This record gives sequence, structure tokens and C-alpha cells, in this order.
Amino acid sequence: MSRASLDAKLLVLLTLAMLSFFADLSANAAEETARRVGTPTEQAGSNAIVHSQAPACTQVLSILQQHQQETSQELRQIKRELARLRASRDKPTLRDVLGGIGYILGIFGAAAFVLSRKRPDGGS
Amino acid sequence: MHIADGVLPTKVALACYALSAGCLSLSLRKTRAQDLPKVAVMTSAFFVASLVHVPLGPTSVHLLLPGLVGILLGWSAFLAVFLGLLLQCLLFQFGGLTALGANALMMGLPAWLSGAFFTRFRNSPDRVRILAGAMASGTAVAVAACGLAMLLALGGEDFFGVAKIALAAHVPVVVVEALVTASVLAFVGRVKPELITQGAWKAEWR
Repeated sequence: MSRASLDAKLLVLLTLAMLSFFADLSANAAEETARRVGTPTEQAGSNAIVHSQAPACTQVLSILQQHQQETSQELRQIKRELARLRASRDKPTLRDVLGGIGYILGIFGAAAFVLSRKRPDGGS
Repeated sequence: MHIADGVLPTKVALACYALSAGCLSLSLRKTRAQDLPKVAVMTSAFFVASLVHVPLGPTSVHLLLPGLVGILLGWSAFLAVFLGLLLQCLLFQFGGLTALGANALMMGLPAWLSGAFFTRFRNSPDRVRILAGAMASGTAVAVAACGLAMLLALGGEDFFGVAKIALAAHVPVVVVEALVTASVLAFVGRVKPELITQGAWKAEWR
């Protein structure tokens, strides 16, 4: 096995690993493709994979963790908002209060009107 | 202090409805046409009072005002209380519609009681009158708490246990209510004393 062919194969493996990372493939998929390509020089190939993938994996992991953190933070915000809405839904609003007072005045107004029609002298 | 839906057994709820219907018709018959504006204003006050939360220590209590309504309205107080509770129930979801009869009895009877008590002091000197009004409205809240305990006892609860809890919870309300009634009576006595001393009021309670 010549030195030049080994270097070329390593280069191919490295670019493949890089490609798989940029295409957002999972680590498993990258390993599989690397294994398929690197059958003749299995020992050297696997070494190369380990060396090239370790930083990529940690990078993916950190990105995933960051994503998770962001989404959980957003979820917490939404939950807080929901609780606030639920609490405010049970509380009577100004519209309810004014509507109730309007009902009361309307009912008594109607009653007074009916009584005044029945007894034009004011109902005493 | 509102009884919710489904707390009372059906029989008790129906009996309370029948009783409060009787009280309501009596109250309607005793209400005179020229008093309607006054009744309307007091009904509105009663309706809104339960939203006025008074911060007190770690919790907050809200006003009930049955005493003040009874003092100023006399026989019409039950009508005011019933209407206020009905609208509170429909608009604020305070208390259930099936328990409306029980709630009306619980608030309306103390209102009548405090009115009947106060009417003896209606023409007393200012200080005595204010003191009597404060006492009457404070007592009305306590009586309402006892009424709550009695109604719940009919539903199978232990009377004294509930009464103790209800009274303890309403001690601050009693105090606040007495103060509110005293200040209202002092104000009305200065601005429009005939609301307390004369007019329809005199003829109503015999």
C-alpha cells in the first residue's frame, strides 16, 4: 500500500465527514458512509473517522443543547403567559361590572316606567 | 361567601328557592314606586361591593354589604340582594345558579334583620345612630356566616366546624363592613338625612 493512495483516501474520508456534518446528517449516518468507503483500509479509515468526527460531534451536540435551551425557555414563557391568561379569565372585567350595573338600572328603570304608566300620579 | 353549584343537595336547594321566592314576593309588594331609584342604586352598590377587595395581612377580603343594604332599603333589601346575586352569578360566576335561592336567603335575611334592628335608632342622635348602624352591619355579616354554616349543615357538614371556620374567616369583613357602614351613615346623615330618617322608610317598618 503506497503512501500517496493512503493520503488520498484519508482526504476523501475527511471531506465526506465534513459534507455529512454540513448536510446535518447524524453521526451514525456519517460513520456508515465512512465504513462503506473505507473497507480496504479499515484500520486507517476508522482512525481517521474518530479524529475527524470528534470535534464535529461535540459541535452538533452543543448546537442541539443550545436549541433545546432556547425552546425550553420559550416554552416556559408561553406557559407563564397561559397561566396569566387563565387567571385573568376568571376575574370579572370592567365590561362585566358596567354591564351588570346597566342591567340593574335598566330593570329598575323599566319597572318605574311600567308603574308610572299604571299610575300617572307617581304611584304613591 | 357564595355557595357554589352542587354543594347543596337538591332538596335543600329547592326548598331555599321556594323560601326565597316567598321573601322576594313580600319584598316586591312592600317596595313602592318612588323608592325604585334608591333601590336601584343600592342594588348596584351591592352588586359591585363583592369586587372591592380589601388587602388584609396575607390575604384579602371583599365587602358583602348586606347590612348597609338592609339599613337603607328596609323591606326592599331582599329584592336588591336577590337581583345583585343573580347578576353576580350570571356575569362573574360567583356562586351557582342552582344555589341562588340559598345564597339569597343567606344574604337577604341578615339584611332584613339589620334593617329591623337599625330602625329603632333611626331618629337617635348622630353618634348613637352611626354606632347602631355599624353594629347592625357587622352583625349581619356574622349572621350570614352562621347561615352559611347552617345551609352546609343541611348538606351533611358538621355545623360547628363550618361555623367556626366561616366566622373566623369573616372577622376582618365584620370590622371593615362596620367601618364602611359607619362612614356611609355619617356621610348620608350630613348630606341627605331624609334617606335615613324619613320618607318611605318610616312607613315601611311598623
